[in-house]
Amino acid sequence: MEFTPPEINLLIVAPVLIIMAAGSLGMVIDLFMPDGKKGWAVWLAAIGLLLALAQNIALWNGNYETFIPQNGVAMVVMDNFAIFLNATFLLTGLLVIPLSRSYLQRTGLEKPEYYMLLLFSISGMMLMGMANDLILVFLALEVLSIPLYIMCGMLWPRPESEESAMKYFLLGAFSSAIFVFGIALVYGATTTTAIPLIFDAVAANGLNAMIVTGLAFLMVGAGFKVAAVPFHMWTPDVYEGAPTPVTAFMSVGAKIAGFAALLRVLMLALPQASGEWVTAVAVLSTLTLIIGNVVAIRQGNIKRMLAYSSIAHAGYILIAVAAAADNPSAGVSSALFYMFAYLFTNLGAFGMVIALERNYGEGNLLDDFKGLAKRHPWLSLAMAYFMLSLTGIPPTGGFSAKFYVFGAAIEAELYWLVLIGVITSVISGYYYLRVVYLMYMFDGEGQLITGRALQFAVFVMAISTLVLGLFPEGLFNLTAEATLSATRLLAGG
Amino acid sequence: MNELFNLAPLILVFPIIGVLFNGLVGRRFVDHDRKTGERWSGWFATIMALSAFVVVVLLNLALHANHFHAETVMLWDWIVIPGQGLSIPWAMQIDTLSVAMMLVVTGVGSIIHIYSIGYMHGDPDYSRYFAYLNLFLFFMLILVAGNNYLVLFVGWEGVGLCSYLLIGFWHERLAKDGTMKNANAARKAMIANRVGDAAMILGIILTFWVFGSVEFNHVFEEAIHIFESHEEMVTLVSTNIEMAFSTALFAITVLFLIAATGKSAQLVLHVWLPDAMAGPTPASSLIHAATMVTSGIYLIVRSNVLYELSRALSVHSGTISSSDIVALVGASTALYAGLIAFTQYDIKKVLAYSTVSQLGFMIAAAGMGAYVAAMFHLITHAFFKALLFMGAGSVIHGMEHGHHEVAHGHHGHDDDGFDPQDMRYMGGLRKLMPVTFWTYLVGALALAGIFPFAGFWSKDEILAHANANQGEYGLFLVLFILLALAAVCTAFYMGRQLRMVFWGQPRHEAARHAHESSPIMTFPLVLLAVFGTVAGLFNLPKVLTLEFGWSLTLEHWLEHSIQTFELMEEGILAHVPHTPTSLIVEVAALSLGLALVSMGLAFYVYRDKPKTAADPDPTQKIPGLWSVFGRLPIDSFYMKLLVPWFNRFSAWLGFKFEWSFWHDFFHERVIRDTFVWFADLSANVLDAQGVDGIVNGLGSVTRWLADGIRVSQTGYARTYALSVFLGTVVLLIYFLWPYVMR
Amino acid sequence: MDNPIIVDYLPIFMLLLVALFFALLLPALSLLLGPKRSPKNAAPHKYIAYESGMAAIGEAQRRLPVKFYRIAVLFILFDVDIILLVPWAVTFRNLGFYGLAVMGVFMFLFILGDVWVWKKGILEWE
Repeated sequence: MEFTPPEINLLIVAPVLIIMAAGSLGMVIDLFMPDGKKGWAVWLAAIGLLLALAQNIALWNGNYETFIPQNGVAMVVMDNFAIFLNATFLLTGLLVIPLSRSYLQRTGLEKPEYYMLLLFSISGMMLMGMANDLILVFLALEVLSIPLYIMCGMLWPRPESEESAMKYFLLGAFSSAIFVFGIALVYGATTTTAIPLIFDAVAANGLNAMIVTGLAFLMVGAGFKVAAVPFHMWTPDVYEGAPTPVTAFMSVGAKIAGFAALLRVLMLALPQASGEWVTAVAVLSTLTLIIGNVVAIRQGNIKRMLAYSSIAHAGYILIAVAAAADNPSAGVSSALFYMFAYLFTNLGAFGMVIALERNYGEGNLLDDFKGLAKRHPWLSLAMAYFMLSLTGIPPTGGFSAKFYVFGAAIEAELYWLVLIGVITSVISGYYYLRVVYLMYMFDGEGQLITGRALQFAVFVMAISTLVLGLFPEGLFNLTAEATLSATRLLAGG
Repeated sequence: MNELFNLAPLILVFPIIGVLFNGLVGRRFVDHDRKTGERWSGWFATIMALSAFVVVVLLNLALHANHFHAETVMLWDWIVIPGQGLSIPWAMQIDTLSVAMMLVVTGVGSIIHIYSIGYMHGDPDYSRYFAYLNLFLFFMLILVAGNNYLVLFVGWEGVGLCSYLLIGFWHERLAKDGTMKNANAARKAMIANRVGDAAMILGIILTFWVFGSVEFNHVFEEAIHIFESHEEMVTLVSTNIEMAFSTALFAITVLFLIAATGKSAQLVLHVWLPDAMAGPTPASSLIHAATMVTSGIYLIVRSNVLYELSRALSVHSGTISSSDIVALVGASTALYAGLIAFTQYDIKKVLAYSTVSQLGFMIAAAGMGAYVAAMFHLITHAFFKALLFMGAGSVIHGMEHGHHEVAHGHHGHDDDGFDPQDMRYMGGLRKLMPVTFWTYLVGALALAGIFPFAGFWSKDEILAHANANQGEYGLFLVLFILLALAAVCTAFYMGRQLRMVFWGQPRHEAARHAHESSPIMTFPLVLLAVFGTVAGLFNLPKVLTLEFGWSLTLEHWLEHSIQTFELMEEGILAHVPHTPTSLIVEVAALSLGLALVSMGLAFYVYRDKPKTAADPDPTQKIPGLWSVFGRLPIDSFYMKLLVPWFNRFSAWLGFKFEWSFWHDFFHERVIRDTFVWFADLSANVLDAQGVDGIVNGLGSVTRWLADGIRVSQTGYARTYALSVFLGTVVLLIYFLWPYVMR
Repeated sequence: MDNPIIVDYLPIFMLLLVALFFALLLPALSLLLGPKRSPKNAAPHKYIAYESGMAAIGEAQRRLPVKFYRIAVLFILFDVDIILLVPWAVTFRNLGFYGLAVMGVFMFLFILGDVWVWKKGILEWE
């Protein structure tokens, strides 16, 4: 048998390569740097992210494919969908860095490895966005997860941090196993792992029990990453125990990557099974919305509260995924929009939590927010604004996002799901606005520890949220283009 | 279209640059360095005015090159409501009429700018003054250049605003009795004008309803079309309402007349103009004598088609036409204001009433259909009245300086009630202020209608028109008599003023020490005196059917903008060229003779009176003159009867109706108590027992649920894994159920 | 497919049943057939962990130094390395320059990792 090498164009995967190279370079530099010098890692990471972002944007509208083996189906696609997701991940990284610095110094965690692991995790997430093959999806899942496991436990020997890492690792491995089992079953049924070929095989031979079993397992694996009920239980413990910037990063990056995997599997590999999975997704969404929002009410720890809040937001995005079954363009693009808006709002809120945390685990209670408005009027205003955005009150990015998601669901005639979404949004107002209430109506001793970088990042996120609230059209058009270029594959183009 | 027409927008650009300069940074210049600052501020404004003048001259040339055809310069669409047929452009109509007005506005305006540089010297708000002056030019040019009624109205309101601002320029100055004289005068002008403006906007709305447009050309074409097609009724645009065409036309033209009485100070809205003299004298001269107050005449002349059609329709039906009303209002005003001028001591008030009177002449001319005569008088009047006002300003300036010198010399100023504007304190200024005297004399003779000064020609043309046509309408005889009497009055009070101010003995120390004003003030006087002398050349009449090279220039110039009709059989109109007025020797001789006699009489009556400032006026012996007109009957009516009753009415509305009934009773009892009762019901009955129960129930269910789920969060990884496992199993069952059951 | 899926898997279910049966049967038999003694009377050494005849030393739940795990993880890494290298070597000619390049990159990164491990002192035992 004659071997032909796959077609490879490294420029197309350059954004990922830049991130990986920056990470590796950082590891090597670390070896030869004296212990005292640590600032370089921040700049290396930031420059790497910016370079990758630039190259990523330059590829917009290119619809490139690479790593094309003999069967002619590319393993890596760089369509607008992938580019949009990559940009989301890179922005997440760029915003997490300014949030991290002073926190890491406070908690004695300032090690170059932190930033390098961040980069490696981001490279996994990006790979997830670009993957056109289930093997690659799984690889990406692992590449993004393993650095996260380590980052969660970086505050050893503090037991909460170790517990967090341990639980995340155990359950993550458990779900990864289920996911890879799902891949195996799909491979068994279709004899391929390439997403377009799976689509073709299903189109030719129809569904069978093996495929739907695989589908169920794949949904479990992705559902674990996005923290959908009932695969969510790790979330509060892990979020609470992990260093707060890591929590912030996980709550945004890992979740979006999970949705990227879910959308690849559901929308691109198995859209013909939508009759099967739409109800399952809708039910998962309902459970996620109710449990996430209801339990969040009774949390006294802001990190736990935001953990449940992030579970609840996964529920809203699941509404969009369910809507995508009937109405792919509106559903997928509203999901993308929601994730992008959620990125700014949630990181902004976490930025405030980080600023409030005096030392690891100190200053994480809701009561610590009391009286902040008097001492830090601007940042409190930003926090209040983020809370409004998370609740979904106009004019915020959160509102625009919910608006598009509910709009897509109504177009798909999922009225009851919208009803649940609206009711739970109202419930969510209770715990989000309580933070505002505590900040403005009480006196307290809470003190924020802020550097210029953090203030700047919070400012940028508040402005972005405002812009998304006032002028959502531009971004929505981008997400629509991204969706179009991904579903182009569906149409066989 | 000639390229030069494209310059038209510049006439608006230059003044607004001046406004911006003086409004934004002028004050800094002046405050920083008084001398250079004033030079910058004043000359900048003046150069802007002069630039506008130059552009207007170029437009004039363009019209010549265009064979006097009107051009419309479109700037942009202004108000467009698709589907309703409403499309109002912001466009400038450059035709002979508007350019004639522009020439007057920018020409006289520029001269007055120059004069103001000297007059306002030392005023703390120097740059503000020039900003207002340029702003006025801006709006006045909008008014005359607009190609539709709505743009005209923008200018109309704008000049009203500038008038208000300039009358109240020294708003902080108080009268001797402590009233806010200047501020009140400004408000009076504003309120009186508001009545006219309300009529104006109603007229514009009605115009649109009837003709479906507010653009001059469309309106006039449509009006002629309706008239010629004998339609009795017209349907109002966008409605089903039908209206008789004659009624509609009558209403529109009368509404425009009311607008004109407000702006041009005609009976019965004239009361604001004499008070408007509280402003700086150059402003009075520009706005309240030469230009703004003539915009009412411009409005009527511009709408000449409508007035002519109204006249034609009334000939049909035999009723009084709106043009006749216009003429009557004008003629009555001319005589009424002329008589009041007898009783005034304030040098500027005399001129103010004289302005009202002369505006009456113009309105009367327009009402009689002598539009060219009206415009002719408007132009000549602009020159000599501006001249007179500025001469008066120069006199006042001289008196103030004299008074200042006296007070300075005595080192102890005792307040003897001296007023620099009061003619009783003047006298004998002829020798002390020679340039002012000679130029003032030219102005006064022109105003009195003495041959060969400008006023003679223009006033005579109006009288000739009234005389020539009196056979046609019986009304014209009345008009002729009223106007002739007004002309006699004019000559008399101007004689009185000349005698009191420039001849005789000084009746106050200040008059003895007065001296001539600076050249920057006297130069414009001389310039205007030249115009006041020769402006009659613009429209020399035919003498004995002979035409000279210079004659009837304005007539030929304006005939491209003014249409005249002759009624043919069955009411069809014929467009005929405007009938040029020829000089009627008898009328001219009569009016000149009367003016000379009347002026001579004035000089005789006031030959040595009053001897001192406290002496009574000789004309007080004439029964009825001082007791009726001296008391300003219409002002008194307004102030003694209308305003108190209005105040009482508004007090009743305010305290009784609004407060006691509406607020206390209606809001407190009816609305508030009902609302409170309902709120009480909702809160205590519906909410507390009904909704609260549900909400609290929901709340406790939620909390109970949350607690329940929280318990499941054991913290053991195995529990979590179990949850994942169970979730997987349920999903599997769901997915496989159809296959298992098949 | 004519038969429901459950028919296909019937043998497995039967096997499960048989296994369950035997799983329950053998303890039950030993209970039934074996001598009945109460645990209290049993010899103590019967309850000691059976370690190939050796006496048991120490507790089962003993804390071990983490360096064992580090070495173990490194061992797995090298294991994986070998697993990749051997098939590659077998078809080395077939893969040509492409194969060499890919493995070169892989080995470069792998060695970089080794250097890092070494420099960080993970291999130091004491």
